[in-house]
Amino acid sequence: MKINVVKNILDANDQMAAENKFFFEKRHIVAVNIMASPGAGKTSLILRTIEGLGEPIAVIEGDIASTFDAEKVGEKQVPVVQINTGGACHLDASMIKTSLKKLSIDKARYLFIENVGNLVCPAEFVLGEKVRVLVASVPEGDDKPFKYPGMFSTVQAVVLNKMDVLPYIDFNVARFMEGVRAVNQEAPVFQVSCRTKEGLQDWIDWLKKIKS
Amino acid sequence: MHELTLTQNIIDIAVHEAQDRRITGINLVIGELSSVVEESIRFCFDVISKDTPAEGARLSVTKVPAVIRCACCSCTFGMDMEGLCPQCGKRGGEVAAGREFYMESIEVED
Repeated sequence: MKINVVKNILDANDQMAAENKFFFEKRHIVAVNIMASPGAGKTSLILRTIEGLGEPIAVIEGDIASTFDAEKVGEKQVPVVQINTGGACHLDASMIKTSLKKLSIDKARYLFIENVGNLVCPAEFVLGEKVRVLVASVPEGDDKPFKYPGMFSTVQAVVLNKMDVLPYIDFNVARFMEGVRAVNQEAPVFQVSCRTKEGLQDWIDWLKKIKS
Repeated sequence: MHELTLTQNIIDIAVHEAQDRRITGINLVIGELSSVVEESIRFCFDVISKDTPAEGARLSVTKVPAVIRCACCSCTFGMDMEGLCPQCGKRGGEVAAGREFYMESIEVED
């Protein structure tokens, strides 16, 4: 006998993400899921955003191991909690829910969730965020949108970091943009350098805009 | 990617839907962009379905190719075009299909 099911395999995660989303919305917190490959500059972007946004921020740091990132963020005097996934390649909604118990978040207007460095798995697991942001970087190459269309198609914004090294690397910005637009028409692409701070103001302005 | 977790979810959903009946088949739909590896699911399934009502069930997978819808003329085309619309020649679009990952149905013993 056949039974129709039609149920998302990640249904349990989706439901918990919906609970997290409700939690954030009730407190008027903009939750931002930051995804990227390892070393693209997720933590650097969060640090620069803390400096430039001028709003109370809390941070959840996701890594397989270590507390380096949480320590760097903690130096900025913002509430931070580190999740060590112990090998898992992505954060899921349940990890976020648990970590919220350890984070003093009530005064925060923005929550930045730094996902595990990986361009594959985090695309599938929603966390309850308002927006999903992908950080790409010049040294990774301009072909990344073509190689990871799944990830690029799910985000509301792309930050292209390390623009300061563009003169030294064969990276074609137009080619990169073609790859993004092939699967994502709407997402703004912010060309920045977290090292020199160029281009960061547009990113900050966008974050302020999505709050309302 | 993390097919062990996904396969556990598949078994949990199927067992819940089967309501104590023995499961003979599970029909999945997997999109090309979903990053789910069918072979890994099959491997994990054989291992972790043991001693559950889903043990020995036939796993059937319908693959859904990625489809892009042109932002300009709304026609649809595949990922091999790198976003270049074969109709109007403009580049860019939205994903119209290929992100699926769900259980369509199960088969149980009467």
